[in-house]
Amino acid sequence: MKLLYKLLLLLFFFSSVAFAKPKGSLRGTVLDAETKLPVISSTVRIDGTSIGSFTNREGKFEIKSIPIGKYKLLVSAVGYETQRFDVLIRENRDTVLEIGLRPKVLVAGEVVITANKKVQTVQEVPISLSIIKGNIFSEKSIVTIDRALEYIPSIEVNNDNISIRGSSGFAFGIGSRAIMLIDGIPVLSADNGDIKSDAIPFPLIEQIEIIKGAGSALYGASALGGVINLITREPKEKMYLTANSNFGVYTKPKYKSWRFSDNFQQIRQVNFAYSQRYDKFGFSSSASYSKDDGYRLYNREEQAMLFLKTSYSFNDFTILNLSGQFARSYRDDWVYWNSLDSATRPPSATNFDNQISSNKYFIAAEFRSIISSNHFFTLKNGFYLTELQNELTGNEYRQSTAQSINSEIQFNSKINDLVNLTYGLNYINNSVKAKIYGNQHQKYISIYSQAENKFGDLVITYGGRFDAEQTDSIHKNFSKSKVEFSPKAGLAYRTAFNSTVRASIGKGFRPASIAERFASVAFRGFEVVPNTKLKNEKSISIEVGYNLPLIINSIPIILDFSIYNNELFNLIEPKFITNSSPKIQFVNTTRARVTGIDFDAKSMITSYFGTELAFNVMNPIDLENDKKLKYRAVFSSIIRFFFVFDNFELNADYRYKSKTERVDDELRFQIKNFDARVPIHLVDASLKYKFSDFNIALSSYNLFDYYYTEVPGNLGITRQIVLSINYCRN
Amino acid sequence: MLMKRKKYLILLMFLFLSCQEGLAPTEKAIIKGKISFVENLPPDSLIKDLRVVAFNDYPPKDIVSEVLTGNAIFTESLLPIRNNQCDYLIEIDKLPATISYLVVARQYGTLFEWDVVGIYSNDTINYTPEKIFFSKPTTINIDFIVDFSKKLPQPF
Repeated sequence: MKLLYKLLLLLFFFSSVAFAKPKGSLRGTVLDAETKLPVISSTVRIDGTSIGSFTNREGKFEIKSIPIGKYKLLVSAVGYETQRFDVLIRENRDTVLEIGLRPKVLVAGEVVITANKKVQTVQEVPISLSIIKGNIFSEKSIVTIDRALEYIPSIEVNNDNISIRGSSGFAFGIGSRAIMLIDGIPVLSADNGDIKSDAIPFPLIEQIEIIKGAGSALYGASALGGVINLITREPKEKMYLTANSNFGVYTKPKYKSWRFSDNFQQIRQVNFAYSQRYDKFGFSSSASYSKDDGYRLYNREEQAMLFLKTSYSFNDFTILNLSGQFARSYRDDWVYWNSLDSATRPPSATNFDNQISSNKYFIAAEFRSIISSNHFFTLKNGFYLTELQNELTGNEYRQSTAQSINSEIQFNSKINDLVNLTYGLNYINNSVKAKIYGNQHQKYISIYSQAENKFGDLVITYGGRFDAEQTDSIHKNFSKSKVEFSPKAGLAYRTAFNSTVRASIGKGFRPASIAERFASVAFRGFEVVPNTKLKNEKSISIEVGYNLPLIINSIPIILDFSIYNNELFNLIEPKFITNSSPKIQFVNTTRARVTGIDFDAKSMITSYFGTELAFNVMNPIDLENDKKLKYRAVFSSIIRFFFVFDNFELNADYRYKSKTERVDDELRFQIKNFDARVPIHLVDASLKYKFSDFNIALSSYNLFDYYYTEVPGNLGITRQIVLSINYCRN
Repeated sequence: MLMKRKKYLILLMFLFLSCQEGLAPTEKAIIKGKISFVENLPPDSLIKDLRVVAFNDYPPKDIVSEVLTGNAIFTESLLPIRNNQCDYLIEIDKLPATISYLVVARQYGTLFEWDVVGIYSNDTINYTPEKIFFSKPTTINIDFIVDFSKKLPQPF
């Protein structure tokens, strides 16, 4: 807590410094460069920060009371090329700008924030980064992050384990090797170190940014395989209001022996989001409720979520954001099937009274301020509490209460016209009370710094982060813990024809989660035993990439290509420690190498027909056994296209994943037909009709009802048909 | 025109790529029923084994080679013959399948010495075998009455 007080003191000190500076203001108009019409809701930011303004209905914006100095403005809008402008703010003077944005059919200059903890365009980022737009949730009628990530070929979702470029296998979600953030604040549970896929404010998500590769140099522990940052919508003067209602069914399985009900299993979802700025106040909220009968017997799930975010602008360069989320879910404790012959039923000894309920609470405060034209800072505090429990009295093996407090202060400084510096301090305190883990405390203290040098069209980044981790029952204090140093370096070079070459090298690390170290439980025929001697997992990611926007026969095409190599050390995997009994322990078992190629090509062939092809091919090798890594597909791809005709829009995706070459053979003792797996072919399609502010869509997930498994004993989601009604005012 | 063709090609590709089989239950056809034994059973020394055997082809070569080559399936263990009556069950897991010759067979000597003591047939004079065709998982019931004193046509 002392650290928090010190951080608050620092905050007020820097704020007072900022308020004391002489100021000027900036206003202007953003117009379409071709039509000269105003561009509404475009974002005008001070480059490298999230501070700025949005244009109103007349395309006008105003940023008041900016400390005097030279700034770069970053102006972006949906459907337009992102552009930068130099501005000079003078004391007590209005600087007036008229900005013309060039329309783009395919947007190559998307703005991201995750790669270097600052706002910049994708082309300036030295590492591979995927962006998923927030509307994926309404378009696909999905409510969880894992379902949204399935549409990126280099990401595999094995139940709750999210694997970026082969970094993870399958461990019931425990010990995520990708860190998830909401607006830059970590949301990994303190006990399992896992991502709670259902606890996200999906109706308000503007975009999901995914860093593919080690990100520990800026994000510390758990960013071993990558970073997933959910960016929520900033409240703008123009109201954003959306409401969705989805009703769907799972069609009955083709095979009689898999039919377990005479009725269609139903899916019901309602959600809404609202966001608007009133002068100095911004307010956003979203709520959702969903109930899913499941495509398997004893696989029901019910979840509700409420998210609120307010922002207050003390002035145009000092902003306070407060956000809070509560999510509750209630689900059957499905683990694996009875057998392939009855793949939609759990084992016959299953107690159907056993349900799992969980609550997730997230509270965050973020304070951003410009100290001067060369210095700005952000203070972030996050509190994440997860509660999990069984509903079966006397057998509460799932019970766990875990809280994580995250405090971070980050500075961005412009050293001179060529060098920008990002640096900060981070403190994380995890505490867990669980029947199967005991009472545990884990802390991290970290310091990081990253420099960015610009030499014309070349941007070079380099930096590193020191992290010390202490778990009370293992290390008595920080002096007994091991300090990890995670360096990184990268470059992005803009060549002729607007193409960009990028290259990067970075280190990632992940200490064992409390669950991996202390789990002691017997459930469903498995017995998990503790291992307090686990070493940190480490990774080194190297990649070279190329981004090329092209125009061939008036058809715009964007190609993105990267070759990567990830070296993985001391990977912690659940291992059967005897050959004949189901006793599992988490052990540092694997030294691995994942080499691969990631490719993406998208094009608007005509104004009404667009398509995208993306694939990832990799060679995930367990170097100790000279075999393929378990639970990784060598080849995965997606082909998608859409047609627009009048008020109709037709979307279709085809996803393919080659057959996973290896799974845990020891599962044969518990799971019948554990080895039943095939290549995955999935087609999703939707037909949407738009009128006024409404959309009506009929969509299908797994249209051809293809049957597959991603993890042993778990049939993948069977065909869903969903009718959606959506209202969106934006 | 070219654009239209491209669109149809993409649609066709989607259909082609998605028309894969995927996982399926190991669905089986089942033949089950009762075997009733007429009194005056031979001595144990002349009934070393007794099984229901389903042959794909008729006439078969001999039981052992047909089973080893996968052209015949038999009940898993010796049927209990001293109880006057017993149940049997044969699972056929490769469908579609045609059973051309379904019999109760007795081993009376060495491993290769078998004879037929019951035949699934509607012909009570010549005992012409009845074919059974399974296109999908089905369970059918076929009962046998075995009279060891009756002489049946022997294919082996």
